[in-house]
Amino acid sequence: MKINFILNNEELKIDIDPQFPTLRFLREEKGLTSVKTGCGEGECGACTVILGSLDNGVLNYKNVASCILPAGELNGKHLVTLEGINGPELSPVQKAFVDEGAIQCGFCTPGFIMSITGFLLSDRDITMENILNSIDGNICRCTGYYSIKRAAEKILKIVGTGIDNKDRISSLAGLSAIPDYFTEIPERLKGLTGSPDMDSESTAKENTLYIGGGTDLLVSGSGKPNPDVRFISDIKNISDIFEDNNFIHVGAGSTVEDIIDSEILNKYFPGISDFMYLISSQIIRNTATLGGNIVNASPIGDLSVLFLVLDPVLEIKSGDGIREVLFKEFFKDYKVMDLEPGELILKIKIPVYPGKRFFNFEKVSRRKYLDIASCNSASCFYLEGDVIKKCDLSAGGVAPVPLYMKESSAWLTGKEVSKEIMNKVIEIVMDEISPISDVRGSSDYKRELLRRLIKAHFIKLNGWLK
Amino acid sequence: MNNNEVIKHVRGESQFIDDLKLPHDILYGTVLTSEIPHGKIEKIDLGNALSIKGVVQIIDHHDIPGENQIGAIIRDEELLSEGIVKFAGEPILLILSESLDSGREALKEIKVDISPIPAITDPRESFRAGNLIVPPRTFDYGDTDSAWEKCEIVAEGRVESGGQEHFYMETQASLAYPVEKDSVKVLSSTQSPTAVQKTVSGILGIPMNRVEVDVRRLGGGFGGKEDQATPWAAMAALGAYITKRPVKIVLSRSDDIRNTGKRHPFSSDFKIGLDSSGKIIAYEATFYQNCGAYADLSTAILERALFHATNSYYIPNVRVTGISCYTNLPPFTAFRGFGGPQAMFVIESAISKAATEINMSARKIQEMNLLKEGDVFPYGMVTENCNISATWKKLEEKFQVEETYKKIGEFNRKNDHIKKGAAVMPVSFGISFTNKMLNQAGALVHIYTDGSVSVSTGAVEMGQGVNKKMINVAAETLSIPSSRVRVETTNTTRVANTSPTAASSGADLNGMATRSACIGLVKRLRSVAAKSMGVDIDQIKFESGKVFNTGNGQSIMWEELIGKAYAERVSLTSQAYYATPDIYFDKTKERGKPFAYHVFGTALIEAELDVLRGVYKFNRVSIVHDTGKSLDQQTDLGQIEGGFIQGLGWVTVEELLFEEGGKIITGGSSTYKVPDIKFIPDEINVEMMQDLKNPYAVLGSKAVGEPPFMYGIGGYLAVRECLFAAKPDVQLKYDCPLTPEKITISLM
Repeated sequence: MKINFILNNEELKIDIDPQFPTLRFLREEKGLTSVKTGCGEGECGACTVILGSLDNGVLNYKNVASCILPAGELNGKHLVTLEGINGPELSPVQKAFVDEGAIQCGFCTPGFIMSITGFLLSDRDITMENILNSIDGNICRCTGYYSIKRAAEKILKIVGTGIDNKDRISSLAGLSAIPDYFTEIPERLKGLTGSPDMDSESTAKENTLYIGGGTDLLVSGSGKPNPDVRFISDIKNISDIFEDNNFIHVGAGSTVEDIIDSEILNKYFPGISDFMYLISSQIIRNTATLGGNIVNASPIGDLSVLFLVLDPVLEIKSGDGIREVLFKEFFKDYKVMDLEPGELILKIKIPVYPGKRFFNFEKVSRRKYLDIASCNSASCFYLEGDVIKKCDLSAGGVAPVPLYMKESSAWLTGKEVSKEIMNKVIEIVMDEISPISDVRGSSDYKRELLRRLIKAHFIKLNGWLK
Repeated sequence: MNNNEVIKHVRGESQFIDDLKLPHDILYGTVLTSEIPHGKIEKIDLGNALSIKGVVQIIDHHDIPGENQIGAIIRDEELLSEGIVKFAGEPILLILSESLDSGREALKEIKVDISPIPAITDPRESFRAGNLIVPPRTFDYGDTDSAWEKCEIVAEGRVESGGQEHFYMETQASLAYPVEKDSVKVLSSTQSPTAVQKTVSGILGIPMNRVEVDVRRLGGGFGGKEDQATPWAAMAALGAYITKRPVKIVLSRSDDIRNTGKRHPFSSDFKIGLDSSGKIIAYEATFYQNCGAYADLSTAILERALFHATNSYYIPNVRVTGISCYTNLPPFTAFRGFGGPQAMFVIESAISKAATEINMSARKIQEMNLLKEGDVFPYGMVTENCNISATWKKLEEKFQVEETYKKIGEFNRKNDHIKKGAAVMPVSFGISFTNKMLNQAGALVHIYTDGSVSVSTGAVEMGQGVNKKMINVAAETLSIPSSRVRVETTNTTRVANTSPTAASSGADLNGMATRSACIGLVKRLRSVAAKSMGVDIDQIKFESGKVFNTGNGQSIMWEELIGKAYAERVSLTSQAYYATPDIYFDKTKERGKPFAYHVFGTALIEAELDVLRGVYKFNRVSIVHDTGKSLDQQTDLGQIEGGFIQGLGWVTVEELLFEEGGKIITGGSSTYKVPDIKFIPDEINVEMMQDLKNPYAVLGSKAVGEPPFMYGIGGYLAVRECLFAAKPDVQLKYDCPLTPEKITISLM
């Protein structure tokens, strides 16, 4: 695949396997060794780079894990490594790390600098919480993170107060947080011969490989060479989230960060953003897509479990037409879906019903954040007074598929919220699941845990009703 | 302040082995390892591996020109297996190829037929089968047998502690160059350049003076590159020696986790006896050390476990036994604390159990039994400058321990879904290699004619800040700005016969040698200055890069003095050597003074448990740590915080799992989780006690690398307290890490 992009301050036209990991391209072909190989699966952040793209004429930057970033995704974009940040003097981010002793062995340091710099370049508010969120996927084995937190406080003080949010790039350049050439990047990107936006109408072949964020596909190294690789991010409107005719439309290309940012989703499903932080780290949230998480079909897939209870319809492009499938009927068996080769999920459509709505997501893993769950569960209730008019329950890690708990959900409908129905539905839930023992926990544990997570839904529901 | 090193790090310009520019004829080494935990290699079928483009050679044990042996203490480990494999991940073949990808392709082509032999993963089973590295060792002090009668309460129990993956951010890496026909130069990410040199020399069958080992820096070590870096360096050297081309070996993360050793899991029994006041009368423990397939450093680690069996307490009657058991797991190895954490976890568990039975708080028992000046450890060493109570008291005053406990009690009376708990964790850790021989170090200091200074020592920089400390020692001793001093790579041709950078001793030993070398230079320079200024040498004073005649206040610049010394043909190079005095240990009696001194400290850890979900978090940790006069406060603070979090990880989130048959389950970074920034306690307070100066290390300082790790044990104890608050009759085994699964099951 021929791609055209800007690497730091240099425009490149190269021919590359679109699935080749960006990390390897940077280290092996460009000799940019600030980008470190730590784990090769997006778990440690040592390889963090910044990726800038023009969306409707606006330049957006984000920090991403280059080890699982397919090279084809670079087309038409600005890729930044630490070499492209370094100026004659240390940036305020670099200086804060030096001053606070936030460096021991130094191997993870470039990744941290890139994550924070990438965050400063994004459109997020500069707060301590957001700075820490931006490095939640960067592992440091030496410092215990406290000195890094102290450095973050210093950065907040220096950059947070000195920045003009209307023109962050110029403002950051003025603070020497980035070199001056960044100010010319928007114009330069417009001049690239990047692939024109693909129309979702263009027909796929049987062997077409659609890549979302690539965050799962590249974990095992680059996939088999494929002559027809297409990137979801090149498809027009596929990451749009909008509201229309009692439906919320969530494009399958929406990233986890898009979900966090969505006013609509947060309005209807308060708390959804908080749950997203449990699911993945910023360097993954920035690229991992909803559609990708669904078709991965992992029985513990967080987004699948969460969206199952929103009772949506999947809109699937099939040949030249479009077909719809109820999401609760989409998963057939372990990694078996109602999806044929060449088909593509375009969006998920969430119906909005009138009435009081309660929505909750629970997840327990060894490490609270960014770990695969032993068990997760979601619930969505529509209520009239204390009476449940509609209820949807789901759970992950307890069946061969992300499980929509049909029996339990149906049984609850029409019941009044009480301790008794909670205890009764837990029994029904126990009959619906079939967990196996694995690295995430024994089957007994998963049963007990789900029992407790269902309780947690009800405890939160009760609190909310009061 | 010398910032060169950290400035390179924040700019991404510091180079680790994998970052070095490679010569055009470089070969990549890919290692084929056993998939089977225990078995006999029946047949190796290379398939089409050798015809894959780029594959140059495939090496097996027959190609080794010297001795196929890498065991450091006990010679029981082959570099490339000769027929019997004893753990999944044991190297069998070395593939050399012109690209990384062709090596990986070759790997898939090769079929190794191994007939399995039953594998053992449980150290107690190995013990029963008599599968030990060395006979068990026992430290016996007082009269334990007759002491039980005097006890009001006797508690017994079993304790398990899991292994721990080092997860150094830079995986094992080495790059070897052939030098002319008969020598090699090896760049290795190792804590033990000399161990690499010696092993390579043995493998190649050439004298040590034909093997040069050079180490610039490590991307983390934590003990995981003390012995476990050696095989990969030896394989790279072997490849280079045979092919006469440079060879690089860098492990992928999953290969690193699968193929290399980690912290030893321990399975232990204890018996503890107290009088009614809470005084500990007697303590007995047996440690079954899970050593994995080969001895590695296991016996030394077990010895330190025995030394730290009683942690910070004086106990008049003690019998502790350690048993090093072979199993079919990766060869477990050094990891920060070196057996100390495992042993301390046992005594703290014993106190916790006793506290429940005597209905007294564990904190009271801990405090009542703290070591006092002049108390004797079960191995005969008398405490000296014993600061454990000083740190305990300071913690109580500064961080309101009593009040914290009271507040937690009040909170728990009012709340059901969340329960809080706290624990205090005292630590007394002995400093010196327990192997007396290793307590030696050398330094080589040059002053160049422009006045800049070059320091070489045997210490390896792995993030612990030893280079910065060496710079501070040299700058202070020479009375020049630290910006004039540079620390060189650790290189076996400049400083020979080095001990590993381990046992927290890097700065102690090498700092002493550096100081001594610098003192030698000052002495010579003082004469030059006296002669040049025409005064007595007593009147010469070095200060802030100048040399003063104290008689009249006149001075010359350091650089000028160096010019004069050179002109006078005075040597500007000094070599010095240091050996820790007055340490000894008699293994036949298990008595002696193995340590130069002890490091002390006490921590308070506060936790809260979400009773419904079985998950917990840490709210606050407060640490009072005896640093001596710190050589670099920021560095020491980083060691205390970082060590603590690593220890906390060991007892909480870091779960190393193996299948019954011996294959690793948590073999990747998606299954083995280390602490992330959101895991750590919300608040940390560290108080360094610098007024407790130490006469036994350089410039009154103290070693700092390992001791803070063990504060983490307090995290386990604090969560346990939460559990007791949630369910007073909770049945919970003493078993770390304390995962949400174990908590939830215990709450059922």
